[in-house]
Amino acid sequence: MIEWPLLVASGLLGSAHCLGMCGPFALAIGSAAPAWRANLARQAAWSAGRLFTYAVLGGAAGFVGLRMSRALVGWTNVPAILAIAAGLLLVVQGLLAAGVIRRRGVAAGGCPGGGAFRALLTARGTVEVFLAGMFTGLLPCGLLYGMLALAAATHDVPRGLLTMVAFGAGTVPALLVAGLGGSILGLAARRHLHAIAAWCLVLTGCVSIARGAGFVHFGDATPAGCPLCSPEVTPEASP
Amino acid sequence: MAGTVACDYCGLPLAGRAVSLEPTGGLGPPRFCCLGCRFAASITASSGADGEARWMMTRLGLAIFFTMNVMVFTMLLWSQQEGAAADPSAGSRVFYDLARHACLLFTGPVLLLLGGPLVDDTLADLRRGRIGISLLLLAGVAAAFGQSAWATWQGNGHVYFEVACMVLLAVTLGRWLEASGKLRTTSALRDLQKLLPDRVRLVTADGEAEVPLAEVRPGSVVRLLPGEHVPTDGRIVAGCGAIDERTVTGESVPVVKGPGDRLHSGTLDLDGELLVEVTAAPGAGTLERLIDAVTAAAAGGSRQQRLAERIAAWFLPLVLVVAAGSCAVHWWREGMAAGVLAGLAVVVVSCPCALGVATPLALWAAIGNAARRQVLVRDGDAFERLGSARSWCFDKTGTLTTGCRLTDVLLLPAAAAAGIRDDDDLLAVAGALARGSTHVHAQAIVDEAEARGLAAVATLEVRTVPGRGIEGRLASDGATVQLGSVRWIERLCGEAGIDRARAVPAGEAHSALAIDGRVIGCLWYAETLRPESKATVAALLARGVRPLILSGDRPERVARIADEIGVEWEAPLLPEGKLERIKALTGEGRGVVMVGDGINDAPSLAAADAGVALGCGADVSRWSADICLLRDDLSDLPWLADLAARTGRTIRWNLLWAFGYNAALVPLAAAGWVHPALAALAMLASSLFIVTSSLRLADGGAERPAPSAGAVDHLPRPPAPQALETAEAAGAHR
Repeated sequence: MIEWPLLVASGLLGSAHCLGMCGPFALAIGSAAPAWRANLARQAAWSAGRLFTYAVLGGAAGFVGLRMSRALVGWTNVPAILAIAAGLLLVVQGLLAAGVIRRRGVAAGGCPGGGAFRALLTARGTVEVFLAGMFTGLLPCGLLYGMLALAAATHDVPRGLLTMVAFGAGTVPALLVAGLGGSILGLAARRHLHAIAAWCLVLTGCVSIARGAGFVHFGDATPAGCPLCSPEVTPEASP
Repeated sequence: MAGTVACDYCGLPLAGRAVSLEPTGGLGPPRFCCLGCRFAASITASSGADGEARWMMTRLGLAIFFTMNVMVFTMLLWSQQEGAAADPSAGSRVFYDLARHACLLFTGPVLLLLGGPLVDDTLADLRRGRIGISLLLLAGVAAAFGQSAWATWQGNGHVYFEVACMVLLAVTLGRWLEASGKLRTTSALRDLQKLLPDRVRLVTADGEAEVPLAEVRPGSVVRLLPGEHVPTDGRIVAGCGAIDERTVTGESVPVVKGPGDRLHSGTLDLDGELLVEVTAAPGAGTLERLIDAVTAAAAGGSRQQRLAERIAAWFLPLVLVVAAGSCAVHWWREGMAAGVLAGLAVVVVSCPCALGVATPLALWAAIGNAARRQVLVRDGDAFERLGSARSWCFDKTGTLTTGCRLTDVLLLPAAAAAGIRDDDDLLAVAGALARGSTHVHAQAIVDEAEARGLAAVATLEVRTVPGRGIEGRLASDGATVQLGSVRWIERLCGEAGIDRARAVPAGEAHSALAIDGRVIGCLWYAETLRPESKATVAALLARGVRPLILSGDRPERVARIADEIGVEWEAPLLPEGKLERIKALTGEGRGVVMVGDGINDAPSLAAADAGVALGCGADVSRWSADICLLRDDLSDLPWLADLAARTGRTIRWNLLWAFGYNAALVPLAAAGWVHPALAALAMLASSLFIVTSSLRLADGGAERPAPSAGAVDHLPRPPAPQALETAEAAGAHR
């Protein structure tokens, strides 16, 4: 079936990238809990919230992929094209993280919900922390979009959902460490890890592109199949 | 504030809005400008507190959580529907039933969490005998949920749980976004309001008691401790302290005040314990009047806003008609479900709120931003015109320039006989006399003497000769000393042409010093240009604006200043002449801004498309300008022009978006091509776009660069050392 290890690895390796944006949130979550054990529970609830959002988004992406592949029945290469698009997104994201290409300045518009989100992050209850995790999952993130394109390429709701859960699970360890230990790793070590992770992202993207390209059928009427599944499994297989 | 009704949540005016327009009264049911504010208020009871914001977020978050669950199961149902038609096996049926019941289970909490405010809003509408959007939304949600619950119970038929959830969630979220956006635009003014203490120490014959501020009356005496803000306008009865008045006058150097001096509400007592006799009732103090003036400006809105409101008033009935028509047609042709869905989609996708908030939100955000930088906007229309104005007229004295400085000293042959060896000796004597005068030339001499670190010579019997100068006696040898206009000194000493010894530009102001009836020397002065004047004019020129000096001063002096900063000029003009000139420019239709001092230039300020005043000080009632720079810093002008231009652009984009969006999506929804859940998402995205683009105006440039030398240079005595260095540097440069 889907190459779950690859997805988990993407999350795992990509999560050094996550530390940039989501790391501060993990720290904020931890700052409200003095005790180590309480903090662990909060970090778990927060990550669960994130995974929940990823799962829903993955399911939605899978559904969109399904609708697209059905709507464009004559166009056999939808999943393959999605896989290539996802790969390109991941490569761009990796190159951005590696500093090879530069991001244009993003105008920081005021988010009206910002204050309330902050309030949730530092709230005492576990439910609030779970919700904070849920909203964290909605933050704009190039890595996430790349993975969502992959989920869409599965053109199946449960599999799209699982794709994102697998990816999300990969991001948990790094954020857990960040949230619990704050500064276990020195600055230099984090910088190295960041660079390695960036190139791993590029690699994941390249694999996705290659696999997608391998499944593109020119002038062939038979369904191209799913680039992330073994060739024997047809897209219409029941979940 | 008289004449307008403010929303009880966000504080924005309701006047002219489609919702809640009842006569204002202190009590009575709370009034809200939109569903979002009602929702936010229903949870927060009072705005802003941290824990309450958290509870609101929790409630919204849980609703989102349940809705997301519903969506996943709905997508599973949808993705199986097409396959299931070919495979009606038992397994597929069990899956169906499970998914539907899961949807039902998760939809219930969403209705409970978010339905309340919508029901309240509907009831409020009905009580007023009106059919509003809320009623239609509620009916649509109820129909979708009722039909789905029935179908789930029966085990067959279509379910629309996702419609009920998404519509409710998106409507609440969209309106709440708008409400919290509005709340943010008024935060700058609320921050000002917070400067006033809630409780004060009231001193009576019986002793001292802490009472709420509202219980204070004019005539009451309150005790003020160091570090406290003045609760309302008053007069010091006893005590003495340094007062930081920057909130109301923009003045960053504290002013020392003692018994008899007036205090403005909102200013900060830095170090003295004061007994203050209250002179203004709470709510009528300087700071409150200032806030009221800005609030009134925002309530007045602008031309575009009134246009948008007129259109919005037509838009609502139009949407209702389209929704009803679409519902009827689809019901007749495809059955009830299709009819309800199409009608609901029209109501949900249309964004009348966006039309209503597109302009005021942007204007409010910009006015609040300006207020944070101590630029007070009193007229929204004028503010909008400022952004596109092409002619900027400046008054010279007090606007581009501030005070005077000494430029040159001339020693005459008689000086040596009087024991004056060099410029410093002359300045030490002149400075000692000048200390007793407030004349700008005297100030310039004292500035220079202090800058050179000269000790004042002891003098006796110093007195001012009105219109001529100062005279006194030297303590050392009793010799008479006179400092004053050249004519006066020449007459006193019987000499003539004493100032011709050195060639200086004609028209330069100068005075002379005499000791024992002999003319000792002459002193020349020049107006001090505000250090930021040149950069300000350059920035305005870069904007493609035509700056122009209109002055009542002598042409040669105006020309010198104008040449230095590179501007065209016209002088001498009487106030009536300035007014004529402004009117003529206004007639050209290119937009005219007049920058001047709030009192002398009042007629021209009023005649211009936008009048900007400096030196408004604390007295709001004397303002005749549309916009006031509390801090007297000209470098606020290019920033303000940018903000105004950005505001205009944002408003036009917002309106364009609101119209374009509605024109594109309402017909699609009416045709039945937009699923209500998607319509809800589209509406949410539209609200988000408008709110975020408007809020960008609330943030840009609020952080201020370090105070420019100009802000320091024209401060009253004692001048900061760097001010004198600046003046010296400028002098050396000339």
